[in-house]
Amino acid sequence: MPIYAQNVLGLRCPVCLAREIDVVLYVDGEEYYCIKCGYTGTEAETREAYKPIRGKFKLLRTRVKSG
Amino acid sequence: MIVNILHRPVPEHYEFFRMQQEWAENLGLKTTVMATYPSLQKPEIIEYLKDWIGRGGELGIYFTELRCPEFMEKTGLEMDAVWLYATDEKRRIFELVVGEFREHFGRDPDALAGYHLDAVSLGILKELCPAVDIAVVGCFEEGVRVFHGCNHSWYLFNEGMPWNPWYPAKDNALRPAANEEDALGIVAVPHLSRDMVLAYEGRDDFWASHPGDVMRGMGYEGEECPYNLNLVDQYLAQEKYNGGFSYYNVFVGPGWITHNMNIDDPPEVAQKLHREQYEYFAELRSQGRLTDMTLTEFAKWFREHRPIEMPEVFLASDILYGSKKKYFWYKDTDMRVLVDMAQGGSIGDLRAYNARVAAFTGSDSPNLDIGIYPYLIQSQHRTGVANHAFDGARTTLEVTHGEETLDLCACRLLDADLAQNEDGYHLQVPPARLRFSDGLEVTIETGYDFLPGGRVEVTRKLAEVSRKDARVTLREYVKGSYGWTEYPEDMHGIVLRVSGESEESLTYDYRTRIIRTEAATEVAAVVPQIETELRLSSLDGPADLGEAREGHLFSPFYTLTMEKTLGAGESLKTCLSMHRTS
Repeated sequence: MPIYAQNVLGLRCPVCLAREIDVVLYVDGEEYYCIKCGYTGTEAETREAYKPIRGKFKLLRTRVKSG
Repeated sequence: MIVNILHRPVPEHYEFFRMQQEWAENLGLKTTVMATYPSLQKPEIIEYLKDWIGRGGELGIYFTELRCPEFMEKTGLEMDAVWLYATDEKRRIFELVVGEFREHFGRDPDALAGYHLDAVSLGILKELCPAVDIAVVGCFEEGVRVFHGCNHSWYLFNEGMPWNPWYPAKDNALRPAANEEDALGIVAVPHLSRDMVLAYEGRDDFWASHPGDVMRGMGYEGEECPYNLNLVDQYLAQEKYNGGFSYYNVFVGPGWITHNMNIDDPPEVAQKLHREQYEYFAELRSQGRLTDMTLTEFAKWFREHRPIEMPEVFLASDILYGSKKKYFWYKDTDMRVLVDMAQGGSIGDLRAYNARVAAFTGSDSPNLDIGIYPYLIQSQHRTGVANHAFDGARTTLEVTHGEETLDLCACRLLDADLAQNEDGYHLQVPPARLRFSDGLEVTIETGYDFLPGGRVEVTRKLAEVSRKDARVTLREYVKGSYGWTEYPEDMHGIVLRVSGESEESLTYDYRTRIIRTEAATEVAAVVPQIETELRLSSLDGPADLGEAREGHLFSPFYTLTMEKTLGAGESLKTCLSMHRTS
């Protein structure tokens, strides 16, 4: 069975993603878990854990003038 | 700026391909459609494509997404990655796909594409379709990082290639041809325009002209993604340095605007961001700042305006982290060089195209899956400045006063001044100020001249010294290696030599030996594994001392240095050059 069929939300592990590694989370009931590291969390916890990944991008909301 | 937009139909996401086409058509943007083999099995898609070419649309073939029951049944093969097949299998695939394309449309494709079309593939395709003049040939800086990031299961190694369109060489599609005779006879364009800062520091499949990739990298928030437009602007800004030329292309599979396992938000967000990129193109076009072309139109334009030997540069700024970092990229037929301003203006990546290293990929190639053009310096993969154990591949300037030596790499410089003259490009790095523990302060001004023949002249001027009579030693420092990935290769057999008052040489055996000469004119490393010689020569007379150092297995590099002791206003001038050894 394809991984994404088990995880229709398409959530990725926030710990691995912080290392620029895509690992789609598996789900067991309400709990999502990573098969590559020790991360576990609900959907809400996982989305919360994405915030620091975006937080490092200080120009995330900025139109930058080039040239 | 010239923009190419490419779309490809795939059966399982056909409605989203149509959505992409509709966006572009509604905005009046030209697209080139690249048929995939599975799409040629679907009457509904063939009907659309016939209508498309009937309306004057341009139609090519995309050779990466091959897999479907018909493909496996007819070929007995299952891999999508066409670049990794053996030559006979490649030929069989190309004959099958081109043959069916001709049956359906009664003509040859207008263009060709793949994630990677190696020299063997392009050679076969040119034989089958001699009139085709343009192909999507490789993914700039795709390799080690993407392999890591995709579960160590994405076998596409394309590092070391040009970032912008080029004329590929007959024996290595990722190397710019040296001249017409060396050229394969096709215009190559990259698969996407990549972020010239983040594709070097990280994953090229996060940071590119691909809104889905940017979502994958989390470079958006909610339904907003200024980054997509910032990247367009960054490419647009390169016109200033390249005689008015800049190029951008977008080639997003339709699977990126529907449910996608690497996107953590609903497809509607991906669709919005993708559409906004096209709307921005239309806006720029209405301002007269952008020209949309089909691939064949671009090939014609490129041949008419960009001769093979014309160098190209990219002055890249970080547009996401806010670090103010700048990288300068230079490329011509002889070399590709990256200068990292945040490390005092040091060379962070160096490839000797003039060594003409041949390569093709596939199970019958000695390179197997590695299409990468080999490096002499790759500071990201191969250590660079020391922060754990020893330093690795990089250049710098060491400045010695008394017993103390300072490293210019510790100077964070955030700007660069670029000028073009009749000889080539001149890059002036901002002055770097160094302070020794006894209070002596010096200012170093660094200038690079990028010249034909694989030569980089480096001028280090001791512009200011806080004590008038003080003299300091400037040591040009080049730490090299060779390789394709992040892992060290076998250094045995590399020959180091010094020339000057005396001549000495040694053959690399990991024994930490040093050879040196006074009145040095040249120090060099001959790397037979990639048929390349790297030389550091003294200009404006001999240097006081030239040295070549062998490394050891915990530091598998070679180090070339040239030094002079100078007073205020004096300069150390050297030339770093690359040569083919055979």
